[in-house]
Amino acid sequence: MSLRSVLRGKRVVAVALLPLLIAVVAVALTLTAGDRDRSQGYAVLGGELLFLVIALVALVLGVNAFGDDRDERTLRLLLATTLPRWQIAVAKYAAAAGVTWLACLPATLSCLALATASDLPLGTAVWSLLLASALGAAAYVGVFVLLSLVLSRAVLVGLAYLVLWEGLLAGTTTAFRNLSVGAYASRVAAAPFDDIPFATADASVAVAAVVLLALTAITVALAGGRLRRAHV
Amino acid sequence: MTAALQVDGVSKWFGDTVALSDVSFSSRPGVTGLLGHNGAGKSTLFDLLAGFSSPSQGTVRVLGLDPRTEPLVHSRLGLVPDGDGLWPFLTAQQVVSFLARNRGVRDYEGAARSALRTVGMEAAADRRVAGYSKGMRQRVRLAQALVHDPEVLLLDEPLNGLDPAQRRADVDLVRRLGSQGRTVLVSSHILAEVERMADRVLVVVNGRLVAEGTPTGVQELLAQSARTVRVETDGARRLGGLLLAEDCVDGIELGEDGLVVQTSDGAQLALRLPQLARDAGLQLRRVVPIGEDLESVFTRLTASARGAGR
Repeated sequence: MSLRSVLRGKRVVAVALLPLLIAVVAVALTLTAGDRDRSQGYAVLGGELLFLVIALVALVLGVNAFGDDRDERTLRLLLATTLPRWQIAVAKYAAAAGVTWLACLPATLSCLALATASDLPLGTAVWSLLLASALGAAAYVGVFVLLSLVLSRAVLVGLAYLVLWEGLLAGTTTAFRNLSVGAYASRVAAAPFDDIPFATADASVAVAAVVLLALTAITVALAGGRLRRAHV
Repeated sequence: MTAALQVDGVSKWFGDTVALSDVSFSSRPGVTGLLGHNGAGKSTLFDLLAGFSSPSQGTVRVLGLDPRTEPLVHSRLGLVPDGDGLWPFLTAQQVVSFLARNRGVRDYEGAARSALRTVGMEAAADRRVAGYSKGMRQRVRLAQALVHDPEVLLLDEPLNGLDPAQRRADVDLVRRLGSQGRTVLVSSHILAEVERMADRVLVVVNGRLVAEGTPTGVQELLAQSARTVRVETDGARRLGGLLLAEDCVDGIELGEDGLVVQTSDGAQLALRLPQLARDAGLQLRRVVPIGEDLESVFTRLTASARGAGR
């Protein structure tokens, strides 16, 4: 039910268009650019833009995980079951996170196509980018599902967070980057690079992965608790 | 024996707004009508009984359990919540079987078919809800409340959006559910509807429980309480003078067509008025209670609930 709810309508098609745009650019670069440009393209698209796109898709799907049930007044029916509320929150979260990652998969794979032409170790590029996109999607969706249960204007607040914090402030200093979801995801994606050509959080790949996992676990747990206490 | 629904000293407020004030009642098997105007606190009470919110004060128990912390209560509790919400991308069969499965019904597909048949929706069961009329949606919502054969039913305005034939069918269905020994709490703001369904009535005014009893008993209570009556007669001035001497009359206003009588005891006035007219040789052309819709009845009852509410 949670999955069908996320996949319904034109929204999922609309949010899939943005990653497809990244995919088209990546494929075009793969086919036309030289080795050096492909390396740079991989760094820009796979290291930074991919996570911005994942964040935007996560915003739309994460906020609407419960938003539709609120708008259509079906939340009470959903809660009039024997399912514990935390379980409902986890199911909604899992559906939104899974679809976010899948919607962005074409972009992720296209970025990997760019990596084939560079001198990066391809095996490392594959696992690091797939892992980084999965962890990034998981953490962003957790944040936005929680936001939707706490705030009535979660879309606006989420968008402001992405533009101001993740987009602007995280680009200025390492201190801000160390508080940015995207910067940790970028750090995981930067695993194949000896000399990282884009801005990331100041942490090892393992620490970055743990931070994203911890953020996911905390936000989902808080969302479950919030739903349990919520007055609907 | 524990009552299926037990509400003790329950108050609920949202900021400065008091939605319920010191409400206590316990249910018994059969249909209990919850009567109140829009905004009286009926849906707030249903939300508390369904575990969707917790009381600011007091305790709520459903089948001996706290519905707020025991989701398992929903395997024995059927609910039609306020509104007409249903997942538009599912068919009625899918909606009802999904909810049946998540309330512990083993043969959820079969149970859903049976529940939809009970509410007369079998023909449209495999169509998407998005194309349903409001009445059809309401019947699907009723089906999902019945699908797991619950002991307790909470029906918040279940007849909203139904046409007259459907209303009659659903009134019969609710009565039948009560006669099967289930505990049914059904809300409405229409007195006649509650009378037809319920053998016990709770009246809520501005968040307070102001009357409780059989429909007849509540009607008598209403009749005995203050009201305004328009009397059309051929001797308005004379009859007015006679009425002023009666204890049950609080005030009289002379109009073009007759009298407007304020009374503190409608039943006594109904007894004395024809006697006075007959003794004086006057003809009573019409005696009409003014504003005897539910809203004005509630306004009068509010006098006993003064101090509470919003």
